[in-house]
Amino acid sequence: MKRLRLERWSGQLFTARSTPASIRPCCLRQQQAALPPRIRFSSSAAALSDDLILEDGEELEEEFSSSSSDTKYPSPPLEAAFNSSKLAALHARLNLSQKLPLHTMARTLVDPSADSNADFNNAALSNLGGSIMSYHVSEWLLCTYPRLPMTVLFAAAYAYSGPKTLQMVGKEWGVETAAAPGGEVDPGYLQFSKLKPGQGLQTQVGSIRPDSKSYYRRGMSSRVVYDDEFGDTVPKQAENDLPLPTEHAYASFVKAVVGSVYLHSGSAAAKTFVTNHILSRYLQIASLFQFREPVRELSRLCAREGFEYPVARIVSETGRRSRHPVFVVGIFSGADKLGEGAGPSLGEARTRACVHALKAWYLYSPGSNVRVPSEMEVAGAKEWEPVHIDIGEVIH
Amino acid sequence: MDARLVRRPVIDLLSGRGQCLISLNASSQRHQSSFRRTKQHLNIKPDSSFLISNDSPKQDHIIFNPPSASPSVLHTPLKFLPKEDKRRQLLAVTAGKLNPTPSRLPPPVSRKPKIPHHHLSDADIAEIQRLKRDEPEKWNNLRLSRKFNCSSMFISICLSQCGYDDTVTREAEKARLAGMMDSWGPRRRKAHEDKLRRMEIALRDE
Repeated sequence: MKRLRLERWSGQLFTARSTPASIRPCCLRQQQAALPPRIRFSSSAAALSDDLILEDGEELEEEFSSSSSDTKYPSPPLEAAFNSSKLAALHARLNLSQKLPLHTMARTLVDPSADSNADFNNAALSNLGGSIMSYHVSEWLLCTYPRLPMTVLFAAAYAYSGPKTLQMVGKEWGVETAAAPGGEVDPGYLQFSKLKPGQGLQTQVGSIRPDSKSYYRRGMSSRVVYDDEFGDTVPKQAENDLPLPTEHAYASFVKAVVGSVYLHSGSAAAKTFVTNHILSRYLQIASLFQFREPVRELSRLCAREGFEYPVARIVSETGRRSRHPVFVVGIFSGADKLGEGAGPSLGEARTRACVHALKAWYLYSPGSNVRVPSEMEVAGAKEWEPVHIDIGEVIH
Repeated sequence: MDARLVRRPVIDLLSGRGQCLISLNASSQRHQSSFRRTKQHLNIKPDSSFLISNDSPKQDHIIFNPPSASPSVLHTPLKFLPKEDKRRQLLAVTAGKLNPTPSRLPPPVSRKPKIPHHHLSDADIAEIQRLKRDEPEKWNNLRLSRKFNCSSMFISICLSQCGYDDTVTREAEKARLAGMMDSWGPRRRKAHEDKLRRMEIALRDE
């Protein structure tokens, strides 16, 4: 097996690099096609000596000749991270390990739209952290609710780790946005290019799907293969330098924090971090369902599983032939009651009872403390018992 | 303790919030009410689980008598549990004790007699299509379904390929329904829209 040297992924801040721009650690989704060559020093001009960090050598003379270098760079220099009280407070507030240094923390706050250099922005960290976060969220959802339909699974993943939620998380951590990115900004602020007022969002140009036309239907199965973890299309070529909505900047920051925790403290710490900050939030999964033909779907379900044909029966009623009657209808398969619903008419009560029965089927859970596959990574874990895997949602 | 438990509903109604309840109910009307009459009126018989019988435990105990509520979707019925689930054995043990199988099930919602399925041969289907082609005005779906003792849904499936163009009939039916809805007044229209909205809400289970 090939050993991954993770310390190298964020360690380019410390070492002098002479690697060409083509093999920079860039992430898949944020391939930067043609970056303008640029020279960066990680420290101020006073400390310019051997420990100089440069990437390309074309504009070297101009950089040497200039004196105060703070304002030249699109993002704050390295040593500003150690003087920022905001950054230290954020580090302490999140109860992060001392292994995670402050300048990595500062790097998580620099969006690619603020600093397009992949060695100084959070693109790689947020891609790594996003993968870790969506892995933990999806494994928890799949093991806790093994029968969820694909649409509900996408919606639940979006509710747990979508950009809107991550913006809330970032704001709850006390991170504020800088008015405009720049080298003079306190590194404790989230830096990205904001959208101008009245400026519309960039419409997505293309996706990585093989569809030749944009209006082709996107089925659920193809979303699993081609689209991202929320069932949305992945843009073909992301342009990082463009201004972006605040929620996306916050989302990439939170993901970058997860990625940096993973790099510096290990996978167990990253999992604990995701569990504490993302999975601890309460989501009403039962409210994510929307049915179209529940009566038919329930009868197909009973036929598929070999249950007796479901029959709607009147459990109780009051006020029939009055202005506000209430019927309580139960769905019975044989002598077993599958669901119950109340409504002002028999049809509506029956629909509600069928929806209730279907939700009871889809929301089956082996228990809230069910084991997930990542628990096997710790040493001395008990033998793995296979979790329940459902054959899939009802097709009607 | 037990004596206090028996009297508790009355005490609750008459003290604190209960006073407010009585005054709200009788705010506009004046009755010949007195303390004695009110107390007598509110002295309803408590639930049987609150009463002391020979079977009730002699020591301090908790009375579990929750108010009725709609069942939660997170309580999976026994039939929906997978075979390897451990709760299946546990529930199977207690199911006989807690909710015994009723001898009579509640009455079904629809009492309509079931229309037989899958009893028509190819010759019958050809006959249906021939009748419709020859006399389309006379043989509508309802009449055909009565003649062949099948559902009108099945008739419409058979007739979809018989060569009879029913677009004119469809348009006429749609226009008739639209004319009917145009003649509705605001109240009936609102009631209809509310009904549709309620069904949408029922599909989302809100």
